[in-house]
Amino acid sequence: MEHKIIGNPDRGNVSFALAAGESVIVEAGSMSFMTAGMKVKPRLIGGLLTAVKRKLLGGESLFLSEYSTATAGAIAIAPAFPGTVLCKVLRGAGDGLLLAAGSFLACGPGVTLTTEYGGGRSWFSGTGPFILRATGSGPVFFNTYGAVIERDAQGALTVDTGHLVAWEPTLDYRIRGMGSVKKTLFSGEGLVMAFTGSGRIFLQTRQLGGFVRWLAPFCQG
Amino acid sequence: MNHEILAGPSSSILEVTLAAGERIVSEAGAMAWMDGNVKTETTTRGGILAGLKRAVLSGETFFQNTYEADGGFARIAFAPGMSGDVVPWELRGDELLLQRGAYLASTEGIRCESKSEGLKGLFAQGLFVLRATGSGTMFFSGYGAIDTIDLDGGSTYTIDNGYVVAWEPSLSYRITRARKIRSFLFSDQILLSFSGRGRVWINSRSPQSLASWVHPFRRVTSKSSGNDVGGE
Amino acid sequence: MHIDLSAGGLFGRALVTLEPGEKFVSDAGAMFRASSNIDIDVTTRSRGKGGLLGGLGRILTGDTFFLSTYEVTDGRPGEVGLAPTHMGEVREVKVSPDEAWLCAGGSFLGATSTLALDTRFQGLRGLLGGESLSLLRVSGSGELLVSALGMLTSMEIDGELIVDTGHLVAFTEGLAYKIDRVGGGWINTWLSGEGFVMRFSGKGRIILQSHNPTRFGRQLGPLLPERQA
Repeated sequence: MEHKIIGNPDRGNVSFALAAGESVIVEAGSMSFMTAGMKVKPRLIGGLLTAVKRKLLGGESLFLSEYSTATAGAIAIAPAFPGTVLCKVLRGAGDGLLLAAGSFLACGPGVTLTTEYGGGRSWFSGTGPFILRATGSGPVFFNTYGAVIERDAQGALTVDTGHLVAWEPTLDYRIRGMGSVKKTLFSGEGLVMAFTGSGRIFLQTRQLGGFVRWLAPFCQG
Repeated sequence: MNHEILAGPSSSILEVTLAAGERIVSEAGAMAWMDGNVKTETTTRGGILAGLKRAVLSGETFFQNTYEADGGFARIAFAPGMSGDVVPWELRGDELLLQRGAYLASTEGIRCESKSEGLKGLFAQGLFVLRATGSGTMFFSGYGAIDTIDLDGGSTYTIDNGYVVAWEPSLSYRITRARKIRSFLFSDQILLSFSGRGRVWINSRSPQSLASWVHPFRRVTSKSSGNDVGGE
Repeated sequence: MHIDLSAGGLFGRALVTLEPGEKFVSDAGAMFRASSNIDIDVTTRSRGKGGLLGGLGRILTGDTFFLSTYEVTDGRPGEVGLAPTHMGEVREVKVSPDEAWLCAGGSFLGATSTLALDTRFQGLRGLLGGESLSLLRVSGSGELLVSALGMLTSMEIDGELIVDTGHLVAFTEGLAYKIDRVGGGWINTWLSGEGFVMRFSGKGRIILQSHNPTRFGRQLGPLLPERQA
């Protein structure tokens, strides 16, 4: 499978060229255009019951679609919001990536996805308290709302959870409010994630919560 | 204090580096990430717009946070809510007028207060604009890329009110409308005619347009019980 | 007349310079800036026999939409700036008399007044289940301005291509198309999250947008305050 990401940093989208028998797993609803002859199958992370549990706990159902083709084919996909599309190739063994669930876009069939509950006080941009763990081997495609800033965290970095996209499993994190209850309420900041250790963190320059808060006053009726 | 605007122009984010004891003021909710030890404080500078239903619902209450580097250097990133650019502007004892939603951050020597525009101009977020005075650096943002129009006192220029981000007080404006409207249903465009000598910053997307467009996608209130029918 | 599209990127916008006697048309409400000598004439276009069917100013629902016509009033050149609703690019399409274009309603930004805009064009062959696709037929000789959510990509089709309807911006009339569901079967469609697709075949040109406004709206809408019915 070959892939090509175009449109970064603010209109990122990706297209795949599949050889006969190959497949790619994508976020449901993300297909833009494709050649004739592609087949699609629904996939859920962890099975139906886990998906329902996630929905009840306020997260996304994370429906996925697996596109495959008997002959060569191509498919282009995009995230719901314009931003940057990134790719990290996992190389099995201890390699992995942790993602705010809404950031996941696509992956190769050799990647395993599991969800973890981030804890009652965590809330990621538009997707609720779930973290996606990607392991195995192959490419993982994820997207940001807005542009991406990559930081190699050395020591403490405090991040508003809405701006967090993905991070390497070598980092430790702790979720907290911004101090006293009053501060959290009026500061407007959601919750923050305090990272320690070392590893790479992917941050986005915009977040859905902020966009909604900005647009809400203009919504009438 | 040093500042850098990263990832411009569509998704610009402001990053400031503070030495120990230095402070920056920002719109509440704009902090994206920070490095180092930082003390924060929330204040309601600029006055609470009480008694206005919209103000309470929309968060027109102008809350600002003050961040101080505590005992060492700190680096803090501030993001506006909407996609678009961030513009730094130096004030040297003079004044700048801004759309209420355009304010992102400022250094301590700058004072921002809400100013009622009354019927003069119906700006994007109701009748209130911000008046920034003092000395220091001001950071403002707008939805979309931000262009500047410099008026030289000769001809006037027309701008849709939803697209005005900031302007120098030397400019004046009045409401104007499309001359021939053969459809009485079309009433949502309010145009401002700017005159005088000075600069106006305009953005390139309208939140009212987006709000109008997204209207059918919003959930409908259930009238009977007042509860939300149908979850996510 | 000169159309300046140099301000590109995610917030594409057009700055149209008009000489005396020239006219330009746009989706009403697209105008965000203009020199003081521009006259704006707003009219309604409705499908069918005329009459005002209502509608929110900038939404091309296929039934009614508002158009503004611009021209200069004082014998000097003037300029009009046009901005779309969505974050995305703006592109100019040269329309020639030998080939009409079909433009998705929500992607129409503006056109030279020499082009005929036909809102009565149906083009909804094989439609199932209530989702509507509004198309505008653009014919004659002139320039058409289209806009996108995200990036605009032009492609030549010679054979077959399947396009999610939400990504369609415009295509030449010579292309054959059929509206269909992806994956076959309603359960599969629901689970796959895909809506309708258009199966294009033949030879022609197509312009697509990288992101899907319907999908964007469905994610954003439920997070905003509730509304009255």
